[in-house]
Amino acid sequence: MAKLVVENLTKRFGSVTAVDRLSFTAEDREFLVLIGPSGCGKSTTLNLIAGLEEANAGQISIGDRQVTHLHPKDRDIAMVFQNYALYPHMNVYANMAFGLSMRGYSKAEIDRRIQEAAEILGIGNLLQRKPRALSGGQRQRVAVGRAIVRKPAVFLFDEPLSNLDAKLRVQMRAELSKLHQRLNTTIVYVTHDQIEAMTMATRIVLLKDGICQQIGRPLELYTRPVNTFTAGFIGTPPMNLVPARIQAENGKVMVAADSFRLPIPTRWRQAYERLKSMGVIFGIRPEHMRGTREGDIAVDAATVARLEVDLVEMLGSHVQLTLACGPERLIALADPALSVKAGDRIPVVFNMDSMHLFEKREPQRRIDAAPAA
Amino acid sequence: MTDRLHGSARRTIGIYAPLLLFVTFALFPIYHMFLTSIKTDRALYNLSLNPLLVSLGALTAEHYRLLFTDTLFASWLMNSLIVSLSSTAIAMVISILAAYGLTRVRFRGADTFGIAIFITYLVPYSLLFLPLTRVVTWLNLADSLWALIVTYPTFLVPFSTWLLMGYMKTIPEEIEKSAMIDGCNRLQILTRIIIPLAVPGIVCATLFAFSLAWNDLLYSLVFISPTEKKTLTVGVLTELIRGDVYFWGSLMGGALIGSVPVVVFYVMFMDYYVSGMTVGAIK
Repeated sequence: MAKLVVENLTKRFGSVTAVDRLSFTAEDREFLVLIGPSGCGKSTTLNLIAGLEEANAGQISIGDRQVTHLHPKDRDIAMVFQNYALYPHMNVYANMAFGLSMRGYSKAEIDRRIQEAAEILGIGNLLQRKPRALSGGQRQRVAVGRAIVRKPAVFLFDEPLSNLDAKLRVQMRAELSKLHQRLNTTIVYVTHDQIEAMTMATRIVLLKDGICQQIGRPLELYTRPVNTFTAGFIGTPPMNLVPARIQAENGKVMVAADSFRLPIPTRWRQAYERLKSMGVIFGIRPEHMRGTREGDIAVDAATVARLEVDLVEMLGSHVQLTLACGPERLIALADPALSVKAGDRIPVVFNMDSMHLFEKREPQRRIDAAPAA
Repeated sequence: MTDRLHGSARRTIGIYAPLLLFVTFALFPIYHMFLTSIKTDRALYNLSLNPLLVSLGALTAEHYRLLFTDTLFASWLMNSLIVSLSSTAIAMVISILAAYGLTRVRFRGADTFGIAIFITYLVPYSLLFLPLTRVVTWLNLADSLWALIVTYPTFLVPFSTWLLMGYMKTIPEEIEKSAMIDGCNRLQILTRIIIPLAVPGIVCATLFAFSLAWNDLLYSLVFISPTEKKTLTVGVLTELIRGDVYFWGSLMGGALIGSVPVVVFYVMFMDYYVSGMTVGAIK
């Protein structure tokens, strides 16, 4: 149990900067998720924390110890790898005992810890088996078991669920969350799956090209993405982002794109009026755009745009509509009872209270109506 | 029903006929060697008899008696064993260390080193004996088995290193990282993780290295002259061909016995040659 502090961490491979002045803190007992597209430097960051790679610059401390230049074994960490990395020539028991016996624990203590971990993970009946005689989920449990017997200050997980099939992944996700509550330790977890990040993290660190984009609680990243990258990365289907202009007329402030012109909610008018006739990126999540039927519209008709349907995907609980907006495509949701087919032009209700605006120029930062509350 | 029978018969012929052809081709020299070594000279040189058969009356153990009593065959066999086993052992120790270092320890110039070793492997060993002769003389090792124990690794090491490098690359790097976090240093990773996992590769390299050393003729011929120090290949060749007189029976008997250790080693280690040792390490 300890706090992990990473400061200005930089790692270069030749001319490529894999991690660029990265700073974050994982508080004691926090479940911190590092997420980003492949090649964003999240695994490199984890390797740097583990000591498997040497940083070019920056500091890492665990608890109150500087560990930047320590050997992996002296950092008081344990790591679970994507491909499990079990020792194939040892049985499950020996796999779990290896780290402890290298550290000179007594046989009795090793045995006690393994039995305890085996019980937590439900692998007591597998202890004498070799890894090759285990299923993917079982191997994953053993890999986790090997980490918990060590009782490290910080757990590092490197995409531990990505080799499992979808059903097992959901199950293991829940188990890891429970395990975190039970063990009460600091966890740093790398994944490219934003559902894992959203469901398990106490906080998320979102990386792109080795640079931290945003750090925050899952809902914070979802509701207040700091730039279009975060907006597009968190959430499935991702946030709709279309180029638009801000226009002011008759005391109203409108956001105008290729196929729609919609008023900005009254409370933000003043703040956004300054953007008049400027190009922006308009963002809105699919769940805030509802496809309806003509004559069905109960809400403020002003926030309705008529858009052409490009594709209809029935998902049972709802229908996912792909709508044309000039060269862009927007995704909206609709009630499964709505009968609609590709080529139809239907009214779409925008929930403008949940809209986002971003700057047009890179890095396309969020434009806030008011300072963050 | 008849169709199915027909199909399975065709399958059997399809598999076994070519196989039989191949086995015949591969084993024929050994059969001929064996036959020649147990025939009397009279039967051997009688051109009217079928050379691929022998009549019971023409059987003899004389050629083997000559081999073991009139020549130093037993010493040659022993010399060959000593030289091949020691040089293989030396080569394997060096190769395992080199292969691990070159594949996994990322040091400056590792790739260049790897290529350099490969180039060494490409130098024909039949040219290398010329400079090596001077080295052997300078080391004062000529006419001793040490001359061979020291020089065989010059061609065994590059070969085994390359073979082992290929094998070690297949061992997932995460296993090593895991061992490092578990508290191993490089040497412990090598001895406790990599070597146990590389057993099939090591067995394979050992077998090949042993056969190369065992089959060598040139170095042994060049570096060693005293009859009692000769290895089996050279001994049989130089002592059983006297001028234009070929002791065919004993020559073939010597060759046959000479192939036994290689066969024994292959059979012994084939069980270890289990690929798929790393199955289960990763997904």
